[in-house]
Amino acid sequence: MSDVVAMEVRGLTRRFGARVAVQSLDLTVRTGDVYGFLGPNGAGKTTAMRCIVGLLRAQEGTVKIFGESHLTRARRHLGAMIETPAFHEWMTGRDNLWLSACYLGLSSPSAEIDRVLERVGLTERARDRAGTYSLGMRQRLAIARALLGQPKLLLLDEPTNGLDPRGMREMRELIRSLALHDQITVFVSTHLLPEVQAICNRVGILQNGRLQAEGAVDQLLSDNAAVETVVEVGSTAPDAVKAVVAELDPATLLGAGAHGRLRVRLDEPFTVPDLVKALVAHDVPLEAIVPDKRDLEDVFLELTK
Amino acid sequence: MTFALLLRAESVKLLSRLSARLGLVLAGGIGLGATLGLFGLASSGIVVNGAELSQSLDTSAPLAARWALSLRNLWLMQALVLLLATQSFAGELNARTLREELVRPVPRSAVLLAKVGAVALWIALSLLLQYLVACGTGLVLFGADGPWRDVTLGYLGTFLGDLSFAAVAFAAATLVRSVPGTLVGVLLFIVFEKLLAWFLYVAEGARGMLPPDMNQVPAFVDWVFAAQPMLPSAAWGIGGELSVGTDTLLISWAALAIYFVVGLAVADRRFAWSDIP
Repeated sequence: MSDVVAMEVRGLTRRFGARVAVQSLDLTVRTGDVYGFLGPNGAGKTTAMRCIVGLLRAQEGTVKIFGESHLTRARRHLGAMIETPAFHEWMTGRDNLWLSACYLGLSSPSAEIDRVLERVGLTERARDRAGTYSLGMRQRLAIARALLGQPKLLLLDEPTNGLDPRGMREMRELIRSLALHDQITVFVSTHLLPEVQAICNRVGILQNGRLQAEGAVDQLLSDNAAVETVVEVGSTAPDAVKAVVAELDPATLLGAGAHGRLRVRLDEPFTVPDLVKALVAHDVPLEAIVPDKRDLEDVFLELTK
Repeated sequence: MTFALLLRAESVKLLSRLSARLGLVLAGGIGLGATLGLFGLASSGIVVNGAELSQSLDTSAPLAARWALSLRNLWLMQALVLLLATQSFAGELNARTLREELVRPVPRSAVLLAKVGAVALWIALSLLLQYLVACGTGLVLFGADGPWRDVTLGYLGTFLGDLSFAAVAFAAATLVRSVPGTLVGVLLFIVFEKLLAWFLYVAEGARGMLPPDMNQVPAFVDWVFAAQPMLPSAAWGIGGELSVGTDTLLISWAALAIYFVVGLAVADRRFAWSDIP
């Protein structure tokens, strides 16, 4: 991460008639960020992204990409995949890339096309018609198209939409690799919160067209951390655990957790070592004590409820 | 970014479409069919009004090309021009491939001009192919004598007429934004305009038959009759007039230019302010 701002959005507003799709949106994406743009369906993510790339006209607000506010010039730094990618189905994957390369002003794009095809692992099928590609291949071809011309900022709208688990993992690894190895700043919108937590360092959460929260993932989690501590206790004698917890005032049994464990809430100043000490003192056979941390999904659900 | 690259991309894309390729085959077929038709009639021994048709039918390579042009101008190829212009804009808008072009660092007006340029290239190719096939076959069957200048000018005039029509088709596509809507809208406009032209033609003829004392009409009626050569079908059909050596009117050329410029301006403004789905 650096202090150089890759994309700055200020006061972006877009209405469709009386309906406000995006309201006074402010976003700051720094160079090197993998920025997760989150929000429930209909929150205005895609509308905001369309405004950012200039497909929709924002009624208010400004967008700067690497300091450039003239949108046509700003798009030189930008590769984008907005919603479901579309191709000229009767043309080959390679020819589709060639068309895009012409639009980028690349007069001899052959080497560049080879590079992006290899980057997304589509070299073998590049000469097949785009209409014969699977959904995963189409997503990869769309990423290849967005990578043409070596953009410094990549905007990806739901890149894992419709992919199977293997495809999702491949896409996640590709995005991570683009950020790490190609030094590309990535702005990605998705519903898949575990994915975001795995690959993004910063997130913005949108609800009803308004930004509810923005910041580093760790910061967001700690800001929204719960006061009490919750742990899951694994034991071969769950009844013994229940009996001990029932005797302890600052501990409350919450019910069943994952893998047959029991969820226990500890109220301050009672800590996890205190709980362990109490269980050991009663000869309860312990298998695991797992902190039940709040994740991004909890924060997201709380902010967008 | 050079416009030449955009034009190249759009031309390659357009020429890879099945409709464009079939159109070029059709253009060649019209050239060949018209020439063979002329040859068949000239050598058929058909008698009309007591005389053999071959005696009254002029045959030559340029006349074969003129026959082909007349056949083409029966709205056969213009319908394809309309289809290609509509596919280039409304078709790509609906298929969402236009979106992929507009996230590139290219002004929308350059994208539009490249699309118009690609359609212009296709019109030129189709006319050239038809001209070469008709003239080549005609040279073999009839020899080289004939009104080369008129027919060649007719082809050039048809190119300009079709280009002007294409600009109007692009304007319609940017306004309507759907392929069926644009096709139906433009075809209805053509039918309406033909009816109007026919009505004016009949009315002017009827007026000529009236006695002078009944022929007193307001001045604007005279202007309406005088404006007939400015009607779209008259302006777009200027190539046919040129090919038979008819003197064309300046107002028809002016109308041709106006339809082209207004069509492009409407398309450009509309496209510039359109939201892209």
